[in-house]
Amino acid sequence: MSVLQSYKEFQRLTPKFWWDFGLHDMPLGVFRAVIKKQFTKNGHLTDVRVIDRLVGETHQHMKSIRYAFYNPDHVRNYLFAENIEAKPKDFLSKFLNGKE
Amino acid sequence: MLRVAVTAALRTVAVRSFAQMPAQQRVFAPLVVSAHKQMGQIRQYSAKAPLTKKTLEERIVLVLSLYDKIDAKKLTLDSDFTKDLGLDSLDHVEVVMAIEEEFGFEIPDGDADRFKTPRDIFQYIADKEDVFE
Repeated sequence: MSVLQSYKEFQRLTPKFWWDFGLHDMPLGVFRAVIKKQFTKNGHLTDVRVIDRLVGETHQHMKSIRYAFYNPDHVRNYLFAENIEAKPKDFLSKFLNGKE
Repeated sequence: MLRVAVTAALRTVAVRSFAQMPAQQRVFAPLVVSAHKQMGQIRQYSAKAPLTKKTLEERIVLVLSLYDKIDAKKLTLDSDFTKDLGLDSLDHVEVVMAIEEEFGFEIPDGDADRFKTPRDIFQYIADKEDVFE
C-alpha cells in the first residue's frame, strides 16, 4: 500500500526529475518506464521491514531530487550504470585488472 | 499565470507599436482590450464544464485509450484492468493518476483500489461530480 503511494508520488515528480537532470535524450514515457523498473526490480520482496526501509529510501531519494542534491551524472550512473565498467569475468581479465 | 504573461507581453507590444505610430494617427483606442478580446481563452480558473453521462463515458474511454499500455481495441467499459488489459498494480496507479488529471480532483487510494473496470471509474466520477443524466 505504502509502495503504491510512494510510486504515485514518484511519478508525479518524474517530469520535474526528467527535466531538471537533463534526461531529455529519452522521451518522458521511456523515462517513466525506467522509474517503474526501479520499483519492479524489488517486486519479489515480502518482508515488511525490508519494504518499509526501501519506501523510506525512496522518500529520501525524492527529497534529494527535489532539492537537487544529486548530480545528473550520478543519476545516470545509478539508473543506467553508464560509466561503470563491467566486472571482469574470466581469469585472464581478472589477472590483467590486478584483481587476483 | 499564462494568461497574465500573455496579456503583459501583448501590452508591451501594443505600447511599442503605439509609440512608433505617427502623431496624427494616434487615436486613443483601447488597443490592449481589443487584443485581449480576440485571443479567445481555452481554460480559466472557473467551474468545470458540466458533464453528462455520455461525455463522461467518452472522456474516460479517451483517457484510457491514450494510455500507452492499454490496447485501445480491447478496451470496453467492462474489461477488467488486470485480467483483460494486462495491467499491474503500478500501471493501475498511473491510470488513476491520468483520470485524476483529466477530471481535476484527487481520488484517495482507498477508493482507487476498488476500481476493477472502467465502469467502476465511471460510476465513481458520476457519484462525485453529480452526473445524473
